[in-house]
Amino acid sequence: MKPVFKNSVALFYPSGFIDGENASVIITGLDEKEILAKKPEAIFVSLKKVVFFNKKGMAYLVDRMLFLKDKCAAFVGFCDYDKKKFHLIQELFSHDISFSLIQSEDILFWFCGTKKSEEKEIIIYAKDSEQKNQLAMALIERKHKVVISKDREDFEKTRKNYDFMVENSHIGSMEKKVSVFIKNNIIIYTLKSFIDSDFAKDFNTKYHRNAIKVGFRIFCFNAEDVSSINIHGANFLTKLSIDGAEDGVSIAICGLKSGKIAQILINDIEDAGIILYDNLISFFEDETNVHQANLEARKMLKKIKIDRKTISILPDVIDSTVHTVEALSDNSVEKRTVNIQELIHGDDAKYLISIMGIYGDMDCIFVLVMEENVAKEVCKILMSEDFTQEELKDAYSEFSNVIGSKVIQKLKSKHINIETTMPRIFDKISEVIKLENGHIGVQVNFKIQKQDMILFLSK
Amino acid sequence: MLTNSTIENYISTIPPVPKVMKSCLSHLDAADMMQAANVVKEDKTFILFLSKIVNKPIFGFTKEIKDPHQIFGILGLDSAKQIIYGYYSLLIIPKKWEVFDFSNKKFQNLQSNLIVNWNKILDFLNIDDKDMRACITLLPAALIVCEMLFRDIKGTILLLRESKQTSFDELLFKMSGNTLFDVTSKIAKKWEFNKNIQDFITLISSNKLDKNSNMYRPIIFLRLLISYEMSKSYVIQSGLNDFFDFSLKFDENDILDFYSLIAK
Repeated sequence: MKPVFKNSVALFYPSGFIDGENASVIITGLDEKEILAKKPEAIFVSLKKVVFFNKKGMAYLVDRMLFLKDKCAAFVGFCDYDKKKFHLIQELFSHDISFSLIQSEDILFWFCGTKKSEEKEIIIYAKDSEQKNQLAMALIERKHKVVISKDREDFEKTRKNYDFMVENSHIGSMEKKVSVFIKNNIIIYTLKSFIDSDFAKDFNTKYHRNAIKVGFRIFCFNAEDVSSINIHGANFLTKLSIDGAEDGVSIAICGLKSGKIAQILINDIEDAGIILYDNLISFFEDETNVHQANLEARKMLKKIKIDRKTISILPDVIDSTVHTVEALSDNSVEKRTVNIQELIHGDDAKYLISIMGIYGDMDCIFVLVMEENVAKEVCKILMSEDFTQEELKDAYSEFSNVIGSKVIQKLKSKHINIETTMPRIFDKISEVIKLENGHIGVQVNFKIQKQDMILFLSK
Repeated sequence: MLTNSTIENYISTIPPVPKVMKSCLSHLDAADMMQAANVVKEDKTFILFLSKIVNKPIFGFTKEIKDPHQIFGILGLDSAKQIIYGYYSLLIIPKKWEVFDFSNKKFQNLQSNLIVNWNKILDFLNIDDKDMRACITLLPAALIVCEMLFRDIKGTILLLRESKQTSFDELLFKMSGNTLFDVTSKIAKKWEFNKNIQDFITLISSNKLDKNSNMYRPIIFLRLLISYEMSKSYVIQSGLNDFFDFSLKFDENDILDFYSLIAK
């Protein structure tokens, strides 16, 4: 059963029954390989659709998750269960639990990943006082405001005063590693332990470069949990800042206290244009960061023309896009024109635009523009009926991801190996045109239900 | 995109039930096993299907049984009818499965398991309803429906499921307003199954199940049985796990009764 990767968390969604007969096909050797290659921050099995489980089945899953935890220091366990299942799991393992239990997938993302709840207060209840503290510490580490209930009675009486609550949960061990998440169009790298030459070697420079290409401008390194930074780590960060300056990229570091780094290195970092903040909260309190991240378009100095190699994948990109749109909208897509030009659009209609970086055997940018009404049509299966604009944007992002995955698969069959970045979504085409900054690419104009759809591929 | 008219078009391509099967069933309804066996004796495909099903280990016969008289004699009237209904699915089964990594052999395994376990459940619930007993082998037709309807948009559907964790049943419902069991019920209508069976099949995925209805417990146990069979390792490996998403919460005692009945 393939795991689903969401914001650096690998999730398995078995359904029905879990027992000794089927547990080995829920987490298979192949899945373990994929997880070890992607090194997620957490690995969880959701019990949301599980009707029944027995000890043999659960013990197998725990065994595999603990193996993975050893290999990649991930936070592992089960989520999405009710009170009865929570007590049953505790009894099955005789209350000796080395994995974690988090009551729902939403709450799991308060402990890892990208859940935004800094503004909210969370009340915690656990029978065991050590667990109470563990849960609180884990949430406080993630910058949540936490209130611990004295006892069950206190919890029942006061829970209504809080926006969120955590109960029926258990923390095994939280050894997390470097992770990446996106908030308000800002990329945040969470750093842990030592920032040295190993960090420089392991840093995903390709991801970073492609994130710049698709328009991310502000990068924040959260060093609050870092033990120390040496000269190699500091040099790497300063180099990253200097290299990015050409594209108008700003880098910030949070939580860089003097005990962690020599003053002379702090001076070097500041000289390289890196802005320092006490912590992540103060970083986000500085409104200029969020403002810049959302409005500033890249000022490319070099204009790179589209090349033959990029154009060669155009039929596969068109095919994947058209097929997905037609399958999800029940309308045919008509190809009108193909031109090598700058990204242009016809009128001032309301658009949704996604931009994805394609990298690997080739590097290019894939832009998909759709009139908002068409976007609503193709995304309706991914949203609730009374969706908000934010939900529409999220759904458009997922829809673009589906197209990206199709392109990856198609090209793989032709022995071209590529990856795609997460799509960045815009609702103003002028911003995207500014971002593209006169780049020459190939633009394909389509009509669907008399409305515009534009596909633009550039270097 | 799948719409109601795609489904209607699909239903219109389904062939009617062969006369020989109808004749066999009418003899079984009249409790004339000898004539029923005589009718199907000349249909070699059916005899092959019959012997493949009844010689599965779950039926527990020690010697291979081939002759239809012998098969009907051992099975009895009700089980013979179940298997004949199961044969209907062969009319629409694809030669090659494309959406799922499934095979006709696995399909027949699933049918056999459903027959044996469903009979255990009805005995446990003290229900002696011939229609309810007979229709079980028709239910896996929902898998064939899913395979055929999603075939043209396979790539998109699989990627959508990966990103959203939506069951196939829910996807079909969102696209067309029909559940897979609604479509199976339409097939049952085309094959002239009586109204009770058509309604029973629709109830499987209905979220308006009346707790006081005498259908409540059999439907709950049938949902558990479908969940159980769909959790088998060969089904998970085929990509069919998470086929349905029964939103109704199961009672703990029902689950325990079911598990001790089936998994012993």
